[in-house]
Amino acid sequence: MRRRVGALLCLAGGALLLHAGSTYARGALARSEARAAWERAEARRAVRDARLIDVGGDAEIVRLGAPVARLIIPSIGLDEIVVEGVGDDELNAGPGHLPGSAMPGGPGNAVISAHRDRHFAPLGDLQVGDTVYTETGAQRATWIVSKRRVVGAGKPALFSSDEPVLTLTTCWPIRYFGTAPDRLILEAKRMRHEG
Amino acid sequence: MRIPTLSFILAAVLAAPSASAQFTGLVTPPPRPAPPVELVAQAGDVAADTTAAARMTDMKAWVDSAAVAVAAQAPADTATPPVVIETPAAAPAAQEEAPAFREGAPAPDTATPLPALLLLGAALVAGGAALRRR
Repeated sequence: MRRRVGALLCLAGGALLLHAGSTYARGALARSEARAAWERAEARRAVRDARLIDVGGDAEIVRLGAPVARLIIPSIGLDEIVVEGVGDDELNAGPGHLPGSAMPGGPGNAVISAHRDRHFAPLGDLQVGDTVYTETGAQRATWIVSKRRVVGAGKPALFSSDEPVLTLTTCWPIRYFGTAPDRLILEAKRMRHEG
Repeated sequence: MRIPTLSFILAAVLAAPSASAQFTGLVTPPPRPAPPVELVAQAGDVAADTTAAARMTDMKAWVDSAAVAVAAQAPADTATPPVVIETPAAAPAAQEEAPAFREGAPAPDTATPLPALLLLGAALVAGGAALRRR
């Protein structure tokens, strides 16, 4: 009886490990693919063609999962390729740009989110005054973190802005057993235009 | 209660809330009530009438066209032309609304149970291995 219960526990535990491990592995694979795609598309025109789809007329929509920016935060050793969208698949591949928000560097609030156990694991160490860099096909921008706050998961957290603002979000607490109840919100203001 | 049994129950209770988000259980829908006999009979009548009308119409069209064809060449086939019944196109499935930026929106849902599942899985494997080793 004891051995049978032990086997059952091993089986259940193995299934959980397999599920979690395969999700992490798929994320790592998608992450490296996004980086490779970004590096391939260095030319500005090629980047634009790779991430846009024609929906008729003048409107263009960024394809979900396409690499749209690079996010670099030297103080916490973060260098990630940002993909479009914040769905499960996109957030497994990398930090996700919230559709409808501004592109980093453009006018308005650019929102980038990621999981606390993956790409934004070191985000908890980011402090007000730290420097953040973003690159898109159009421009590079330097940002200074100006605000750091924690809000409840369902509370209003994102607001539009006339000035360029970069908002980074992840779950809070960073180390938490289960589904984290809060969100860490970091806002940065743009310092200068680099072309 | 013996320790292995207790640990198994404890593990099952602990695992259930986390795993529930990852696995989908089979839920049998309640049996649909049978439609009234009058409605079934009416539906049968309507279907039969529609089919008959379609055949009559197409037969007339076929006879007219066949008469023209006979004048032009010898008849090769007297088969009834097929009746094409157009079915309405299926309605497109409703697409889930993707999260997008709006004023006062909450932060995107980055919550994930994966770390908890990983720890739980490791604990279960360790517990199971310990039980089997005894």
